[in-house]
Amino acid sequence: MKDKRNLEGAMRILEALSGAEEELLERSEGTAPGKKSKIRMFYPRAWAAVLVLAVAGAMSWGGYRLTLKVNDNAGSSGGNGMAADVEEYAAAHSGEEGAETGEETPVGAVQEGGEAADGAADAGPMQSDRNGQGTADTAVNSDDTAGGGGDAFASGKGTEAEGAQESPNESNSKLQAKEESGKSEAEGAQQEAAEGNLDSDGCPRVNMEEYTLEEAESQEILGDYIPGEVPQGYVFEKAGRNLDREEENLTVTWSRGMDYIMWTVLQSGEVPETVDVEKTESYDERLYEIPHAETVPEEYRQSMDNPVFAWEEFSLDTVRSRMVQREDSGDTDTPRGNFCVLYPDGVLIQFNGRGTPEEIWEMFASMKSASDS
Amino acid sequence: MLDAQILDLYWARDERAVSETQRSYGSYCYSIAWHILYDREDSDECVNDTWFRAWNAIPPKRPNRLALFLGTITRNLSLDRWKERHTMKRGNGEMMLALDELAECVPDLHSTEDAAEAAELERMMNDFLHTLSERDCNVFLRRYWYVEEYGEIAKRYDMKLNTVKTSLFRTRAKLREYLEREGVIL
Repeated sequence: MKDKRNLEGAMRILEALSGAEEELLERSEGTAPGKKSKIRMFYPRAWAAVLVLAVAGAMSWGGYRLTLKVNDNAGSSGGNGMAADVEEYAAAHSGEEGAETGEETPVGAVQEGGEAADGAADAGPMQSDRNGQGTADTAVNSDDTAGGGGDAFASGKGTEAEGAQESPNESNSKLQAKEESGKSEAEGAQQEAAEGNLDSDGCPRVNMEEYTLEEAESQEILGDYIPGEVPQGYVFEKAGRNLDREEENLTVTWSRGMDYIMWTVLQSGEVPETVDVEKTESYDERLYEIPHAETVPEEYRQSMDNPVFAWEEFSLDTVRSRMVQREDSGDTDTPRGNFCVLYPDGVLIQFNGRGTPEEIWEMFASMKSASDS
Repeated sequence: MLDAQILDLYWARDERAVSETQRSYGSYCYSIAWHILYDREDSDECVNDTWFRAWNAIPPKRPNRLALFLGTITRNLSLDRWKERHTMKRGNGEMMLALDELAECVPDLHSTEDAAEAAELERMMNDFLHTLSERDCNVFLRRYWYVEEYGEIAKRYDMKLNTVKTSLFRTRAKLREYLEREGVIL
């Protein structure tokens, strides 16, 4: 008896672990961190030697190039030319630094974004992919804006070597190109910084203006289409307006455990095509077996996917035709469905969620606009 | 395909979302189901049910970590399936061993309090996990979330088999102590 109770308790612990925080689970995906450090620990002197050689090599190569440039300029342009070219060299190097900054800025910008930084870091390979893409875009912009100069500047070394053999005019135009290229690099950096506005999946963040339920209800016109009642147990989750959409819009979501309701109110000049309620075969979910790809005739696929009912024809029966119960292991048995209702003033309600047909019908009946009409 | 692109397909109600999900996370989810169910057919069904559940959940959801979102669904479905299959009898595989081990953590019944609510228990388990060192936490999750064998865990973290066993033994003892201290009835 005790054994059975303990096994049941053990099962409850296992089930409770399903709620383990994602960060912890993700962390556990890692592999043997000790292995890498072991390699470093085995060969510390070799690593140090490689590092020292790399630094020394970089310094001597930089010094050699500077010496070469100064000597060339002394031979061709005299003292002033040399001073100008030292400036050019300095400018080129600041350009290189700028290019480096151009690469780093977006990362910094993302990190400054706080949540975005977490998300981007979480996104892992996705984030690096987007960064890679952004950098490539910047390079393309650079070419477009500054022409060949931008390209040469991007490579840096080529510019310096060529600069030693150029006439002053060529050198000036090159410098100008570099300045323009620098600008385009800065623009590229800004563009990438703008890409810091990513959500945790690396997608551009939806530009939402969030509201409380009261604020949503008080919105002019659209607020009248927010239901006054929701099915029992549902709690308000969030509301807001998508500022990126051209049409006026307002979305409210409620949830109840795994159940949810997403209620979107739209107002636009374009009037969507409504279904003929007499043709139940064009929208009634109950008539077709899953998978719909095999059972729904092609001409009804669009209307079956998301039918729009004219308000005059909208009834409890139409709601019943769309709210169906599916038996999925591990899922709730609440009926679920989606459809739209078009009102005479051009307002469209998009419903997507779960509840009994009667509950959903009640939601539509409880709208302020419904009681006004 | 990147997670964000797969999620976009879900949000566009494009059925390619399912095939792309299967391509990216089929093996991962199957591995979770297999460790729990130890049965090819049942594991396949749980994985297929996972795609269906994901299709119904996205939108409105837009999970931050698609893999873990799918993995959790698979795990829950697999646990349900395992309970159906093993209501009265003991089964094979790591699941029974893992359960036996966790049974050590169940505090003795010495109260008339109601059993802890699932949500409360989840919160407590998370709190408990945060009290562990990173390594112990990782090992614990690999064993009791993913139901992996000791050998797999040892290989993953480059640990000795006995170290894994010792870590789990100590963590279970801590868990029992923690649950008793919190007055949890299971």
